[in-house]
Amino acid sequence: MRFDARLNSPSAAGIFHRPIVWFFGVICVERIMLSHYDEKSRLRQIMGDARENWTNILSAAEASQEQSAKISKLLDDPELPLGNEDGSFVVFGSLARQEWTRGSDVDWTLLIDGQADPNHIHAAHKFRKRLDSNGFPPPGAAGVFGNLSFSHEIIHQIGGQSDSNRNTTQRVLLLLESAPLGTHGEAFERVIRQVLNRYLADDPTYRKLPRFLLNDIIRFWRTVAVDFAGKQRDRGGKGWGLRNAKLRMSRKLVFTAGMLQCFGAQLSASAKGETPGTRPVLDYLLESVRTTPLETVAAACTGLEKDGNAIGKTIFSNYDKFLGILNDEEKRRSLENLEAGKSTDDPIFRDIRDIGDKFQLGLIALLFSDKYAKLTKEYGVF
Amino acid sequence: MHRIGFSTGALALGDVCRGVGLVRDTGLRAVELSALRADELPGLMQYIKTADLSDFDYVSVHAPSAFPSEMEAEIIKQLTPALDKEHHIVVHPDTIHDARRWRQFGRFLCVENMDKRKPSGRTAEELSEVFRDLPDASFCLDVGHARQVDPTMGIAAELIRDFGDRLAQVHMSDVNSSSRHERLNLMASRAFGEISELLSVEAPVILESPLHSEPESRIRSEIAGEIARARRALMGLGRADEDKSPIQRRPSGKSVPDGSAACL
Repeated sequence: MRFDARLNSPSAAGIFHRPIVWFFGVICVERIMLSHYDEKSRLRQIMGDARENWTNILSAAEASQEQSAKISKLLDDPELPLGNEDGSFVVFGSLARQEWTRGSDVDWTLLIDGQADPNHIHAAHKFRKRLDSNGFPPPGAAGVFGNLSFSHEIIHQIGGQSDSNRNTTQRVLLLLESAPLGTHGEAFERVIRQVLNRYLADDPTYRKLPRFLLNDIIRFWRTVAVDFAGKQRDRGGKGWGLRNAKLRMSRKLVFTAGMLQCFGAQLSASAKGETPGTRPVLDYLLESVRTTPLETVAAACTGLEKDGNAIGKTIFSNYDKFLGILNDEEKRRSLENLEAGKSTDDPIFRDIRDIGDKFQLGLIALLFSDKYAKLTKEYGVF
Repeated sequence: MHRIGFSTGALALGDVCRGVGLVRDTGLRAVELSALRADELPGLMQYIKTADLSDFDYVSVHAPSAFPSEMEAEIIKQLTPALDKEHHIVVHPDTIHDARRWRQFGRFLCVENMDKRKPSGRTAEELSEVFRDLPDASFCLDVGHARQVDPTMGIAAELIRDFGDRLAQVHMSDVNSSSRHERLNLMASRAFGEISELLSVEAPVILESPLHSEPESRIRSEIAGEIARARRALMGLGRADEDKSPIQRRPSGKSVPDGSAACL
């Protein structure tokens, strides 16, 4: 099987949503802004080949760009900017995935990679107030977002008793769906590099495939699935329908994109004939984490020798329908209020279930395609 | 109200003439002429000899921040014309290899507290050793350095308590954990607001926030913005919506002297 590393490379997709200018060995983060899918993106390529128009995906990306610009403006208040090189405001969730719909909340953290300072909490408070006063819905009730987070915990505590649910979530989502906003992305970039470096440096047996990282991504996905049941119990069923829909779609997408990033690192290094080592894999992963999950999956589809477009069409047309439902305020509210016991009779949930089933079939077809089946079996099961 | 000025190094690194022009254009009356690198000093001193700075009511010269002991005599010789003009000479304590050589500058020698990278000169206790050898020297409080050493600003308060009567000028900017100067932000402003009432208004506040922007029109607006942020910090407005500072409630142990006697 021929593998085209160039096509599989996220850089070829040309959709980096964090334009970072490198010069003289120094990271210079320009005003960081999410950009929507341009003509070079794999997702658009599949959409064109399939003669489809996934307007919900495209408009969600455009809305993400608009919301990101608004939030960046709040951060760059000329009177008192809220960050510096030691701290980056980082968003997660739909905004980072470029999937902003009506009713999306802003999952954010002030990520500190520097000296502890009692005033960091005031910057976080001020940012929270500004988001509130500008009509941005606050993060969910779990307490994972909407506050401070610290690089030491994220980088040092991978595994073990100290690696809390919150810490695991923040760390893995930093890699899979995050973006810094405002002018200060330096801390974010440093932490991303350090986390990836830890996964690679602390995995002495790995040969191109970053298994330590892959295991954490798989663990995270299973944790999300288990927490879904836990939240059902803790919250007395409140929000069940929407959480279920997200589990079937966006959470599954992020997990799949994470697996594909790990597989891609292995395939890319093999295709280039590189000797095992952390540097090429680290470089690959650094590029990968700057790509949206949808585009990562799209790049994997276009990298298949056969059926890539058909698989992509199944995946993205259903994801487009999912975003369409989320963007419909009435349907979203209905899902939010839906209890598990009434789901079988609910027409919107039936739609979600049908969309989710087809979406999963598409993902399975991708993961068990000729290109990925061996890796999925070898590394995805055990 | 505090006088605010700018360091030329913050506005036009290595180009003192342009830096002075930018400061002058904003209408500020205080300026620090920066030669942080030793090779910048001859040009700066030549500039001082010829430039008309009479429209400024406070001028200081920032001496090179690092040089070997063999160069000390030559550096001092080059700085001497600044003394004739009665400009303060801001020095880092770790560049004072032989204190006796620097005594000739008397009160115009202005010793600055250091950031956490430096092995000495960071705290009141460490600086007291420097002032013991240079009893007439004045003091430049770098609030960014002091905050980096102690984000609660307790060490800054101690520096003011112990050396406030020597205070000639203040340096202000954010200093990140890599010891790089940055523009003022919420965290820095809040911290500086904690000690603003302890600072003598006679001591000019020299901004060291790096604003090396092009085009010129942009840097002018950035200067104006940074001055506004500094004023807010000095008025304690960065913490206006929060509780009062614990530092202000804490008895200082010593009364803070009127800094006017030590200033120009």
